[in-house]
Amino acid sequence: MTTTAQANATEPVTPYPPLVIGGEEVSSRLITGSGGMTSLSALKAALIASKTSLTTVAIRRFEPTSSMGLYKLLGELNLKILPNTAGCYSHKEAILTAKLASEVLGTKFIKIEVIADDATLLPDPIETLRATESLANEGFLVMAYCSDDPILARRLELAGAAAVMPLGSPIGSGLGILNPYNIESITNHSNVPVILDAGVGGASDVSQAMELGCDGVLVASAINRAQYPELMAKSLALALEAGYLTRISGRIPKRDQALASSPTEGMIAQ
Amino acid sequence: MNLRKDIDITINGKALSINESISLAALLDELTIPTIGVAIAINQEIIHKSQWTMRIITGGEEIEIVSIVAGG
Repeated sequence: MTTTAQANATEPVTPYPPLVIGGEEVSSRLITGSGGMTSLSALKAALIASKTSLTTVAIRRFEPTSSMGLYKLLGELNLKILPNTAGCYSHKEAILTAKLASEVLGTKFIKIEVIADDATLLPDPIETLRATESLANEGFLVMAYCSDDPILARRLELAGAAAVMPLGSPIGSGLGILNPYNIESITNHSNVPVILDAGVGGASDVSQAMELGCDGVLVASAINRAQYPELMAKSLALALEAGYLTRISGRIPKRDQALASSPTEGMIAQ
Repeated sequence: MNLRKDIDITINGKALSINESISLAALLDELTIPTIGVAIAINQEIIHKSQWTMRIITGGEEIEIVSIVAGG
């Protein structure tokens, strides 16, 4: 999706305009995941450093200690919460989980994540499409985690997804964007926000996603499993802004041959 | 003489015997489960909070009580 911000020759837009998903404004384009962190205090520090305004949570059976501490922390930080359907293997499970999430949190945002198997953690495209269609029809703002397939992204948009979230590479792999051509193809043709999800390892991946035209990036493991999560969160927030500014700055076209930047006139050895 | 009978139900996958004719709200109270930040499904069907006091639990029902955890 093309950004609404216009490049300005003298003063680029900075840091960037808010992201709008299904009519809801999300002030930061770096969406974070809350899973995999060692402690709530470390999560708090990383969330603050990332400057995120939207963070994901999963839905699980109630446990007094794990549930209420996180609930309190996210409220304290005044963050919007994006529940996900992680752990679901069918559209039926995902639909029930989405409805439970809406009951718990009073939000219509849902990140649909329907996994095909435990070994790859790759999203099941058929089940994802079914869940998206059903929940979008019921008024949910579906953010659909999907493979980096431009045709699937198009089908999800047609099914009513409020945003599509193609993976860069498998969850937790840190392999970055394995198929930039496909990601760019998705961003070029999508009419809903495109959020790169999964596979980010570091700053260059986040920047590349934004340069390829993504509207935002979702990062969990890259921050939460880094040796120093707070530092990594800061790094990725800067990378997101850098990538966005590159995108609107009118970068030079790629050339097959060199093009001198120094003047060719007035050289002493003619 | 106590005429109340016990019924067997399942809560979050665990078997439990409770008094019959108890409401969902009373059950939550008895189990000291908070009423905010949780959602409930009985036999895969969501029970909205407004129905918790009216909904009487019957034997054999499978109750799921969920909340948020760090994830994603």
